Amino acid sequence: KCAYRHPGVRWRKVLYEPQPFPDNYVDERFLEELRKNIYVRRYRYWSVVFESGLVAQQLACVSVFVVLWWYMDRGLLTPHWLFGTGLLLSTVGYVAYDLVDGGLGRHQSGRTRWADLKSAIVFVLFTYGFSPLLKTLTESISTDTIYAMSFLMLLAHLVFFEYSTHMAVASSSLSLSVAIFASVCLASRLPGSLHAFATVTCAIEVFALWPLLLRRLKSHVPQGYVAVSLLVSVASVAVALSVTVVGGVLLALLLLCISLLCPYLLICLQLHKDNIHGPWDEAEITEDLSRFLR
Amino acid sequence: MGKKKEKCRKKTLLQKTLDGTTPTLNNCISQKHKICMVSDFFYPNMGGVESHIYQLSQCLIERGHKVIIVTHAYGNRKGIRFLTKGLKVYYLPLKVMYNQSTATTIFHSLPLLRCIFVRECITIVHSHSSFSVLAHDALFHAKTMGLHTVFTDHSLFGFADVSSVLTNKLLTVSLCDTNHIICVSFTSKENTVLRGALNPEIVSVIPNAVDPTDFTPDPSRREDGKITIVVISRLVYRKGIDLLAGIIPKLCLKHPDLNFIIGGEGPKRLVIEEVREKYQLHERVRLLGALEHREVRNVLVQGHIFLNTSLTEAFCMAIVEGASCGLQVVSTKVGGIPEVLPEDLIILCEPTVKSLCEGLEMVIAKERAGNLLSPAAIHNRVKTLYTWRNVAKRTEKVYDRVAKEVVLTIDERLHRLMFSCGPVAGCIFAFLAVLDFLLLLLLKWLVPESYMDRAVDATGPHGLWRQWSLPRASPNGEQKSNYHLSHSSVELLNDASC
Amino acid sequence: MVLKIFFPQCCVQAESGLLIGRWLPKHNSAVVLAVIHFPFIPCQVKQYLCQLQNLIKLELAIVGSWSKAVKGQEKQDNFMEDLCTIFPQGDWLQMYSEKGKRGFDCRVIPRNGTKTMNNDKNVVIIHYDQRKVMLSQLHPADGLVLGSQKNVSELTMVFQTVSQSKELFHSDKYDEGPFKVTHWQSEGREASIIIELCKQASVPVCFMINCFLTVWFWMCKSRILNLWPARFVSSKLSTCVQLSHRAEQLQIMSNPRKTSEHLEFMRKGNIFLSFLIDLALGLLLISWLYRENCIARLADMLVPAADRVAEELQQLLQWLMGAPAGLKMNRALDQVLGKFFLYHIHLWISYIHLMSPFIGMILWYLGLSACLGLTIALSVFSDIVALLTFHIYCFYVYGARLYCLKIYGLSSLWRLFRGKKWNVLRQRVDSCSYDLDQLFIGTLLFTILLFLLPTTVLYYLVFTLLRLLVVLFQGLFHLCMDLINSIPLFAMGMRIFRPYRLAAGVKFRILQNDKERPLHLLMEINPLTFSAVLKWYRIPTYSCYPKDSWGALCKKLFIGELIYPWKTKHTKTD
Repeated sequence: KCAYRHPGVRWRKVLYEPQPFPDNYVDERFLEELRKNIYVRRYRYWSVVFESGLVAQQLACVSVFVVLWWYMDRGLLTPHWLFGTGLLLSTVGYVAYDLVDGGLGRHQSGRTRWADLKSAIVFVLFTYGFSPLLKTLTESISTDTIYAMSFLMLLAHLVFFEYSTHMAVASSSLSLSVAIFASVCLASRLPGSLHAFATVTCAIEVFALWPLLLRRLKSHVPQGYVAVSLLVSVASVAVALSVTVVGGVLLALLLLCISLLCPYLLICLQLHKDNIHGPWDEAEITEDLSRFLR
Repeated sequence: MGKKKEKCRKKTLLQKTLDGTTPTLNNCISQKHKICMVSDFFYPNMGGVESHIYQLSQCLIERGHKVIIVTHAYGNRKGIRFLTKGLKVYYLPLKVMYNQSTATTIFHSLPLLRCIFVRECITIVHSHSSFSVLAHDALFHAKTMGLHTVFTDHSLFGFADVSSVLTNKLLTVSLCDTNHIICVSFTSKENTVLRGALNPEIVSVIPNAVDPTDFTPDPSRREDGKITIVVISRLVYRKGIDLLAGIIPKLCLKHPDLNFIIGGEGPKRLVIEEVREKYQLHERVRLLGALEHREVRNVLVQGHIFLNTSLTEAFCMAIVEGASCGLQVVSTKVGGIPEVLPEDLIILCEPTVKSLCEGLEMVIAKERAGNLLSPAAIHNRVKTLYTWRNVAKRTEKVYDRVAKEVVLTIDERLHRLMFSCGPVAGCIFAFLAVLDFLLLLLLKWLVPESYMDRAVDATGPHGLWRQWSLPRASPNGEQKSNYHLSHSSVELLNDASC
Repeated sequence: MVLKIFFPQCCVQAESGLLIGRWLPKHNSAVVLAVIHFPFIPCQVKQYLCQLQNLIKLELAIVGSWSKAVKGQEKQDNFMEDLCTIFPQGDWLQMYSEKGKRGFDCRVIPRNGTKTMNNDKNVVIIHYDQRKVMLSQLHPADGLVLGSQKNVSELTMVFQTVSQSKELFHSDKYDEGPFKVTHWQSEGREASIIIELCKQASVPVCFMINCFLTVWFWMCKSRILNLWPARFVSSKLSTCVQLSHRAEQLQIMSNPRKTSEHLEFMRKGNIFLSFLIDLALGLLLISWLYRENCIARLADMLVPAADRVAEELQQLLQWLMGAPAGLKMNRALDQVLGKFFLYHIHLWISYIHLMSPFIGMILWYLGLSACLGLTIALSVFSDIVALLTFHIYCFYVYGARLYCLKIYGLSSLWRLFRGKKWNVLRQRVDSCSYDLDQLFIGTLLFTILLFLLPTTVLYYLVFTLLRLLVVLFQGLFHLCMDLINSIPLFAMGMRIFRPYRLAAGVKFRILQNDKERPLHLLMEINPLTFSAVLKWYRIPTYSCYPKDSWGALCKKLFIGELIYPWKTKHTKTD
């Protein structure tokens, strides 16, 4: 490879001492630190399925909400019934939320029950107060525009939802905001102001409260989490089927695809990875440095 | 004076040949080149590339070469400026697109660059920095015009993400027919060879240098009874400022006599500020903001330890500067950093908060025990390691080698482009090269080279700078500068009517 | 160093003698002012020099000798050299013209040294016209103040030297002095009886104007006029502003003190001429207005026009309350806003009708104000327009306020929507984790405001356009006024008829360039360009043009900040 040979002198990969080699000398040890695929992670199928379940779960939630709105729009569901059921389920969820971790989380955050009650009252009062306004808000805007807007907003909700804590694009507040925006848009299409009120409260329960409970379930009672997500997924497919058969089938396929097929693909494609590494790579910061700031 | 020297040299040469030794001509009188340095990054912008170009040019001028620099206009600084020793700088009127890099259409810079290359009788075009679009443009056109080309790469790239895949492709295209490439460290060479799919034989390693007289130690400026850690770097992610934000509270809580001085500006300043606010370290962590180059030394000498947290680095000038000021250097072990300083002058750590803290604490313990090398000793070790004169000498060798090579003709070049740069990019760029060639023919027809007048050399073998500057210094010469009447349009009309 | 000698042209033909002048050692040049002829007594010359120095406050000196070639006087050279020992001040110039040769030679004898430095290349003789240089005022290049003492250039020094030596030039040829002196001198003044009469009259006239002004200012300062509403209103009415501006100018002009400074003198001249022009135009306007009863016709037209505008506005509002241009507006808000504005117009129409019988009379009296000058008449007219379009202004303010609130609310809620907040202390946007209820209410409000925005924007847009129309109209008047107020007619006239009086610089013409003799240059004065005249002598006026550029104006319109035609509020500067 190279003609220069200096007996006894071995080339060293240092700049700070003069070496008897020309500047363009290429040693045998050139590129000896080159590595391939050192950061390939071995995934276990079921653990990936477990983690990706949250995505399917959120999709199911959105479809449940849309179907409920559709029922209301068609008059198949009275707002009283929806509000009553929602209230009942939230109470159950509230109790479960504290029971799951034995009040540990509440103790840590230091949030009182009075604050919870106040929040709940604020929700209900504001929604109720604004519901007549909401009803007339989008009168002059065409229904198609509203649907398109709601669709985009719900899509944005799914994109920005915080599925795990280390996501680049995730923003929990943005995802919640767009979901509420979409629900207000949809609510304004309903026939009565009470309908709007019920829809918006339903949206809060589905998009704000339910993920909280689900996350706590996932970390403390994994079996319960699996059961509940299965239940919700099946329920969403069922209610979707009651609206359109095609939609229901598509949703079921989509859910299956996200929670079973995608993890499988991820693991398969790992085998085809071909990555070069070496000392020139930008070092990654693997520690969670945000703890210094919070 | 220059002539005298040459004569002397010739004499010695003659003597040597008479003595029977047969030195080759190249070794003794190295040929004088006309070099054009091209980069988007030059003064008034400040940074590693900028000072590299400036210092290298100065040393090459000192060695008798003609050097000019081409960069883009910075605000009001446009046109031609002369710097120390007659270094001529062209600030071209090109639009800046992003991060001081110019926008390109590949072709629009050809007329301008051709004009410069022809007027200045350039023989070697030396481009700097792979981030600089102008540098790549100049390489492209220089090859079309049949000039020798050299490229210096100052940075490291990964291979993992989409953007680096694209930039690496462009680099491959740009370097496949470049005569020689210079890298600043062995790691950088490995990286560039891989990125550009190059023959490693045409890649030389010539490290950066530091002017040791600018960075002298001064232990009296240190605060007594305290240990100060100095960090000087742009506050951006690539410099590992997040790591720094983790180190500061951890060490400050543990050692009450520890201070930080942080010089530099950037988006990550917020992170440091937030940490400082949260742990109430306003008195112990000083943020100096952007520093001018001449202020750096005064900041460095106030510290005991120099900390570098970069996540990637081709050749870290900052640690050499720090060591030259007599500071104990603690740095992450990334890129070319392990090659830069001998083991006893630097503590290398993994790029984690934990490892860096351990390294720092070790140094702090040594400092308390008084086991560290004295600043003067460190300075004396470092000052001979990297000098610009050495860099210039080695670069000169590259030029000599390049000047002997044959520049690829257009068909060879097209062949090279088509077969070494992949089917798609190769074809596209071969097509562009043909267009560039046609454009050059058009320009040659519009403005023949024989019609273009040649610029007066300020530097180089026939440089006039010294001849100008000599009478200027004498009192007789002052009249020229003094005899102009200010704020009047002095028109000398050549008719003698009384 | 090259020695520059500024030599007056009038002295070229002078008889032999001594050169009076001034050394400028910093610039290595000498300014020759005059030639003292033989015979003289050195002692008397020194005395004379002392007197002169006291008079004109410059360090004058005998800078050298001047010898003219006359037949049979070749022997004088030695005598001339001896003279330098009699007047030992600085270097000694020895200038002599030779018979039959154009131009003249110069030798420099350094003060401490007997060696004559006869290097012709080192001397440049610059001829100048003494009268023109004396009368002209040199204007420094950009960025410098006239008459500042810092960084005085060589040329300025030369001009100052010559113009300050005016006293030296007062003595003329026929004066019986101790000795003869050659320099520029006037050919005698022409006395004009009219000018003399004007001069005599100006003093009592100024005094009377001053008395009148004192009374006027006293009235203005009286307490009633300084109450809050009166002051506020008067500061907004352009008539009042223009009147007070004119009064101030009058005060400057009628100041009985003699003006010495160039700038002040020019300012007085400019103001005086602008006054005259203004009055003349005003009288012209009056003669037109009152000749054919234009006033009455105007008054008859005014009320129907105002009525018409109100009707048009009503129709516009009706249109906005429907579905204007097919835009999707919020019906409820649209109705509310529309009705609110309609009620305003109703009020306005009734107000106009209440006023209509008196309008003719009011106009007749207001028309008389034109005899105070065209600018006053214009400002009165502008005020009338402002009063008649007051409803448009009101609408605009309502619309803008509503819009501004909405934009402000939307922008802060948009940050909340994204999970960010504005950090006041750091002046930047921080990320922030909101509570559920905050987020919910914020988003709800955001949605509502967003859907109501188009309606507000439309109303704002329409009324802003109307307002801009009015502002444009008023702006034209103000532009005219400002033109009359600010054009420096006196300076312009001076520039046209006496271009050398206002100098921008000089240019040199080569007179003689012999190998053996010093270079002779002729210095000519470059007159100031007209744009520079405007820049230097523009009369400062009260009306500040809107300081913000078009971009800033658009930004202001976008965020709903109120725009005013000519008055910009002084922003607080910390």
